Amino acid sequence: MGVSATTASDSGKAGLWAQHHHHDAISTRTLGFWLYMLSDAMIFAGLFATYAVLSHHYNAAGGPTPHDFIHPLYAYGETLAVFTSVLAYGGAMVALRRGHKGGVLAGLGLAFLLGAVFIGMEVNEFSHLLSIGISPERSGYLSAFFALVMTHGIHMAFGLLWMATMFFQVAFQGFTDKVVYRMLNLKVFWHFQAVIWVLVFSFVYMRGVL
Amino acid sequence: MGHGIENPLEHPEVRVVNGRGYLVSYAVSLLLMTLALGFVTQPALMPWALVGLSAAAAVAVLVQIILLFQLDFSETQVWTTVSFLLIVPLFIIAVGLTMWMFNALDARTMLAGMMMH
Repeated sequence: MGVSATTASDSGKAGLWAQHHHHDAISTRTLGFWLYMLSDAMIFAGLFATYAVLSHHYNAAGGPTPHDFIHPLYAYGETLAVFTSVLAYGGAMVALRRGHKGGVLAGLGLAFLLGAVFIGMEVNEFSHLLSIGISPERSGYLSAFFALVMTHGIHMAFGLLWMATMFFQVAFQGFTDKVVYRMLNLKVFWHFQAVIWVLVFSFVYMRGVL
Repeated sequence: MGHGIENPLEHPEVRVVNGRGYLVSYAVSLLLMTLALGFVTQPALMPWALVGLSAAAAVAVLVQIILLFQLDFSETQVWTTVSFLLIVPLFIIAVGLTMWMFNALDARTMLAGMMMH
């Protein structure tokens, strides 16, 4: 199996098994982290499947159904916070490409603030639900609801912790190899939260209103 | 995929960042989620709510995945794209089969009777 045979193939197209390049840290670590995020997606697949099964009204066990406690406009506000935070992180990545440290710090700071707004809104929402007796142990439906939405929320909280760490690493270490691939991995992690939120917003919140 | 580049900012994984893609993704997905909100709050749109919601979510997810993760078949991104494509059937099997199995189960057990009361 010759390297020559691979390199002789059409160089205009990427060969999936092309052997003419070695693997540097940034490439391997970003691909490795991407595969990790895909396995994380399977956790969400499990949670969405559980939610789909338990969202039938008889699994509410006579307790509240989503129609009773979901406020669509409030959930839309959370959507705005998540999407804008993801856009701000995108701004940080554009600044990174240009090697502009101030831009990266500004983008990270804004993304952090908007992510914190989302977490604040979710904490407020859940504490209100708990205060009126809507809690995970009330019914199978509510167990699935809290498990799914809180798993996303916990991801967001860990993303914020990671973002705060990157803020200081960028500020004090500059654009080293390690800082750059961590920024790339956090990008994948943070943008992944927006994709999951689209599904949560559509199939838990909006679907629940119907 | 591999590169002997000294400056990490010159790495293809960094060069592939596309600000315009982020903006388009933001605008399109926000528009679609506004539409989803409209489907469940505007009485005129409610008859199509479930189909509309599902379509809006599917397009928003697709746009975000392609534009935010910059999926394409370039040398830098080809394995990212392929590994994503390989997980799509797993996702469909996990969610779709579970829903189908429990739907079929409900129809054959006493739960179907409970639903009628």
